[in-house]
Amino acid sequence: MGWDYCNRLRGHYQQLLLWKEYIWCIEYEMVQRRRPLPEIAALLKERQEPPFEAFFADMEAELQKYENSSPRIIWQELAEKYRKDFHWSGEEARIFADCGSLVGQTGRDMVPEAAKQLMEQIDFCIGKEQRELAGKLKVSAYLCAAGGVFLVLVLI
Amino acid sequence: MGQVIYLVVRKILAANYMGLYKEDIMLDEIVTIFPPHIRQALTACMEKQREREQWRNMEEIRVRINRPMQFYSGGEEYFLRLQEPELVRGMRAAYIVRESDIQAILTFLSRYSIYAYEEELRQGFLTLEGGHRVGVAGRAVSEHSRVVALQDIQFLNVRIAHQCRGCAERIYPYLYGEGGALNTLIMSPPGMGKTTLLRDCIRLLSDGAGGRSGCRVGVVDERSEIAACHRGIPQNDLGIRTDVLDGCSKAVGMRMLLRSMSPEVIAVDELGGEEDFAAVEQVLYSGSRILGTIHAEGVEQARKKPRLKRWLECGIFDRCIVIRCDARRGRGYAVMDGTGRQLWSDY
Repeated sequence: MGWDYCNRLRGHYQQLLLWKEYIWCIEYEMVQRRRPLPEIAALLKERQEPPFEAFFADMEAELQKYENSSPRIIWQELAEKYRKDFHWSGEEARIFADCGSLVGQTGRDMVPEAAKQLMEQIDFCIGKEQRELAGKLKVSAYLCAAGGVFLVLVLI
Repeated sequence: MGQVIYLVVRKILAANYMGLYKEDIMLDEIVTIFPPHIRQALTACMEKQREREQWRNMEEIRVRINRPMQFYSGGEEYFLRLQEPELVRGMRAAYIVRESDIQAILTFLSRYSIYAYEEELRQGFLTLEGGHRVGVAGRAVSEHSRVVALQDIQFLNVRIAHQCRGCAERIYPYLYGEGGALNTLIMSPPGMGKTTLLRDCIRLLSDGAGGRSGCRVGVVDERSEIAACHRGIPQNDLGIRTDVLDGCSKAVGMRMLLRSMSPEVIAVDELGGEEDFAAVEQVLYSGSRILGTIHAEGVEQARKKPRLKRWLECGIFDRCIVIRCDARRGRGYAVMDGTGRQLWSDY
């Protein structure tokens, strides 16, 4: 149990870092490469990092349908759908849904500002996780050790 | 005998099939840009034979907010009726375009990515697959007398491309001399078909025809009108030996092609500015030939432009092709040599 908790903590931290990287990628593709959104989604899903892979695969599929007129709403709906897969906290889930404002930008000159604001919030989440991670890992290590000692005592 | 009949029948079927296939492809390219309810009505219209004829000659589809959707075909104007879908002459039952229709069309055209098409929107058009062009109008945002953005787009003009293959075959023999392709200027007033003729000349020069082998042609397509590139792929047939520089200014593009693609002929549309003429001279000095178009009613009017006058007097251009159009006789061409002497005319 302690070991699983340890892995989840590390996985969550990795996910936050990946999230920031994806936002940076989206900004770059929109501003520098002027790539259309369906192609950006297809590109990001190719990186095969779950659950982002499934998220962007769904996003590409929804964009190709041209049924919804707003990429922002598509992002928000998918963020809600994949909320459990991402294991976001309440605040992180809110910020992740807000990322829809980035893909909903119609002018390239607004994209860097929108990306900057999102990355500041993601940096805050990463900083908070970094500070708390050491403590949480210690707790999980104690849990593992306590569990091990208990097992030995039981066996004896 | 049986084999001959089989081959003849196969050829007829192939010709019909190719004709049907090309027409259907064109219809699909246009119809998919509209929202579902309009798309269904247009598809239902096209299933009727009469509407097919109208579509074959379709020139433009006008979409304006809070106005009836208009179709221009064969010089006639039609409106779309949604109930019992049909293209009708009268405006009474015509479908009125809503803002959501225009938004849906723009969403499709831009693939949810208006930011990716800012440059094209600034120029006032988007190019569709198939070479069709959608002109846009709305609120222009200007800075220092320059349009920096186009917002609140509420007017669209879908111009349907009709590549006229074969229209240059009559003048093609005159594009060649002893040393190969000749420096050629195509001139006419606006709207007479200079670009259409230029396109076919490029195709013939590139593919080769009449026993002549093709040559390497470089095209500087500043306004994406010649090749009509969609996502980098030319939608018009420009021949097998043609390279296209899309969306690049003529002056810069000609120099780039010279440096990188070693063209035998460089084709450009609407030569006008001083920098264009300077670049043309550089091309000529490099040994490549120029195939270009200019706005002028004829050689005499062209002589009134100082740079052109100098070129014509120096005999830089070996051929001038003048396009004339008249209601009675239609479109005709006259081919002149560099001194203005007429070599051929079908007018």
